Amino acid sequence: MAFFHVPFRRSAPGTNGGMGNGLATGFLWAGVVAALALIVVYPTVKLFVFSFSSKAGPTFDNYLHAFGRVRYLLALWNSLLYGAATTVVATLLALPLAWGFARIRMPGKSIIRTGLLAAFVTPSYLGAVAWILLAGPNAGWINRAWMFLSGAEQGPFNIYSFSGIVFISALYAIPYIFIYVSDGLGAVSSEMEDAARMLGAGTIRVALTVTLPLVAPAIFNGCLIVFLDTIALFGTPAVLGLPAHFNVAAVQLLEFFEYPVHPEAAAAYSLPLIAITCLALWLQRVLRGRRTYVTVTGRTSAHVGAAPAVVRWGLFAYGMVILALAVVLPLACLAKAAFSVAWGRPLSLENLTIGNFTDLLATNDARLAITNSLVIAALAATAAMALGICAAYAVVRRTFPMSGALGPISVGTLAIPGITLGIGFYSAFSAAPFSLYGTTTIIVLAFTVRFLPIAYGSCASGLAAISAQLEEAVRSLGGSQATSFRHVVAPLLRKHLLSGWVLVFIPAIRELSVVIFLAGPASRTISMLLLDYSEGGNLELTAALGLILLAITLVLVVAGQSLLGRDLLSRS
Amino acid sequence: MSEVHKVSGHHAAAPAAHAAETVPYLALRGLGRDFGAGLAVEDVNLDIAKGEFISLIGPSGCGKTTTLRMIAGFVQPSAGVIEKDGVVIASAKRMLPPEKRGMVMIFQSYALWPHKTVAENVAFGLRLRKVADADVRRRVTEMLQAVRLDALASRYPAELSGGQQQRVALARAIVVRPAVLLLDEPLSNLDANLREEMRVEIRRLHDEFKMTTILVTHDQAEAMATSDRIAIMNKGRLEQVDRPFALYARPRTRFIASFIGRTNFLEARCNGTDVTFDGFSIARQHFDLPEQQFSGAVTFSLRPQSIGMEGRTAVEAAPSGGAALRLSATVVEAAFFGDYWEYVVRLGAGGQSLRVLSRPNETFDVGQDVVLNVDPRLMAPVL
Repeated sequence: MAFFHVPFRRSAPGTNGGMGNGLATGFLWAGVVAALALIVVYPTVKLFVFSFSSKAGPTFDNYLHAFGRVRYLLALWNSLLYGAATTVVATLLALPLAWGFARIRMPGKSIIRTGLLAAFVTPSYLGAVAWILLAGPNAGWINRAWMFLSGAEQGPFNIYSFSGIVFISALYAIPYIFIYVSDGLGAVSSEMEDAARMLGAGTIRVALTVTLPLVAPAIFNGCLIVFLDTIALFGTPAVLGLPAHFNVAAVQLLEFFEYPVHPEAAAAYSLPLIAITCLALWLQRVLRGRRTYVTVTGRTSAHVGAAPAVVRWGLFAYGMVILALAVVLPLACLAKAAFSVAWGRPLSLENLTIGNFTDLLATNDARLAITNSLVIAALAATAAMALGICAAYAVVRRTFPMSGALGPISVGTLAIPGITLGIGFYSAFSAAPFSLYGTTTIIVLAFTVRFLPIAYGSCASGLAAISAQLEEAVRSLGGSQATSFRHVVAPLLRKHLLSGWVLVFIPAIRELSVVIFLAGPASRTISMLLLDYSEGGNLELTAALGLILLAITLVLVVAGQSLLGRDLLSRS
Repeated sequence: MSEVHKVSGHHAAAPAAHAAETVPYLALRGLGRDFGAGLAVEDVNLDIAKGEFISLIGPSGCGKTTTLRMIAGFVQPSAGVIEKDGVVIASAKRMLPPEKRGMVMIFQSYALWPHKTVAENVAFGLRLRKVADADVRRRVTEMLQAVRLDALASRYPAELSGGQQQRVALARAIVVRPAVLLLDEPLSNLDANLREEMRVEIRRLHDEFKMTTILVTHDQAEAMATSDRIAIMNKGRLEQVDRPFALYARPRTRFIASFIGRTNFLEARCNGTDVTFDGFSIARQHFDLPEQQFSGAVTFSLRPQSIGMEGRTAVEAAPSGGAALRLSATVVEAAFFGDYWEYVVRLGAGGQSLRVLSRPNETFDVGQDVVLNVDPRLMAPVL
């Protein structure tokens, strides 16, 4: 995952390859700057302005409305609680896996890695739907199995609960922590661990006293991403939280758009989320500033060590349990429901049907949603990569004065949670002269901004690997900057561009938190339809549509991994 | 000028000096570059004649690469101008882009495009110049023959050794017949044998194609063996520009004396008639001193190779003659390096230590009393 690893590396200070550009390239850079200003800076600024606006002029009323009720404040508090709990649980679940993966000769590594990739690309709200089938209070398969076995009147699990929501969210956050920590472990020289072992420390002791502190920054980064992602999560709390009477900020935000519509209050209400994000990112910087020594120095080798069989096989079994919970059981349940006449009835020939799929594809809703999702994701991925490569090139090669500012602008939207971004776009582009509310255009633009950090990071890391001298050689032989881009940079970056495109497309096709605030009847997506179906209780159709979404994603992941030879579960 | 040099490395006394007296082809005037953290290059003035081979050398961080990149057009000067053929091509205000300067640069990393074959790399510059296909093929083939790589034309850079990659970089640059060839530490990634071979190759190609060549290196032997003149930079400034032998024999500063080869420094006091060292003094007329008045404290540089050494008994038999100075000393250290001896001797009783390099057959023991023969004309006063 190239997401948050964003090198701001530049060529030698003061070098200037951009002098004497033609008029055409001048227009290109002006266009890039204008595009970033319009779709990144403008909605962000507009969100602030919007939160103070009313028909009568500037006002604080929106804030009074947004924070004037205990219910609303409680939702914010719940979000923090939900984010923190999910982060802690996901980290505790992921750490043993990452350690076993990077440091121990654990069996079945490729299965676990593949399984985690599957969990990574599965939208958590789909996981939530599947877990309704598994652990719904009465009808869930696990509860029914329990009742059957024990003769109890009630199953032990209720997925419609705070712990249920946290459990599901944590399950699908494991891959994030895993990616960060196993990368971090890979960067810690195992000689440091060997040194402790030479002094007589055992495997577990070494892990706790040497390894853990060394990868603490990586763990923290992973936690940060999970926390920020969770507090902005809309799908899972919407699917599971309403029956549990557990209200979170993301869901509360949408309420402001229900009658009586109060989008200005939504804007005001969404600002604390940005503040929390900025606070967290600042905290990260402060902590990192004090301990830059850690993972980068002394990288000689990170070899995999031997461990007692109990540890190895214990970890393997643990990995299998995690995969069963996150991937195998939910997928089996979805598949069973998707091919059943009624999901609650047992597996039998009469209950077997492909009717759900044919019914689904016969509806205009579903056909439109699938088309929309594909088109929007493809356009957004293309636009994000186009902007990303231009911005990264301008930053890495300093093509014009102050071009370095494009880097922070491109990745700055990381600090804006998806739901807040959705409201920002609503406030910026709903009114004339844009009047884009409800169109696919506004969704494409919002997705472009939402995933620009991924695109930029992918392009910047690729560009950083291309020595400036390769381009200078073109210039020195008489080629312009455009020539060098076309003949040297573009061919060398091709793989990076394609895999970056896939990396944007995958989250874009399942994105929910942005789209929920912007979509109209003609621009609904698979993710929205899934939410509708599950709220409507039609779990067979939900499962069928979910499988279609997973199938599309699977095709892309396989294409991405095999064609491009790049591991999507790696940050480098 | 360059055509005088038929064989490289043989121009110790070659008359390249008048190159600088003709109208300069490239001129750096008051050139400076500020990277924000102090001046990287400061007030560099240098005239380069057409066809001349000049080296910029100095310790790392001295500004030589920045100077070269300013000439190439990758860095804009913050002060001064660069002129080519009397036309300003770079100043703080004006900047001709690199592709319009008619110069080709060879990079330390060679910067071969990894996705193009050897032939495609070499052909690229010709294609940019819209040379007809048939001519491109012919010239690429000829060029690859010239660097003895014709058999590897369809290989990719990653499939070549370091020396072969270096020759592709040379071929790619020279095939477009550049008026000026710029080389940025082109040999520093090669092993010693290959470096020697490529050094000869670069000089040969220079003589064959008559390009004005500027070589940046930190290796003084490389610069000595290839260049008509050498410009030595230190802390962003140009310290001395001269022919290689002149730099060795008459270094102007302590820095240059110790940067070019190794040396001993001797402190002396100078009056109208005598130069007085610690323990001995010599009549001033024996020195090859420049016109300007030297007086007061003066430092002399004396190369270890310029000191003759004999056993004391041999000396007593043969009386001294001429201006040669004879000094008694004691051997303090001796180390044999295979092709020479390196001795450290101490002058008189408790006097200054000097380093002396002797031929392999001139063996002395530690503790042995010796006599040093020094020709005062080989002692260069340095600032």
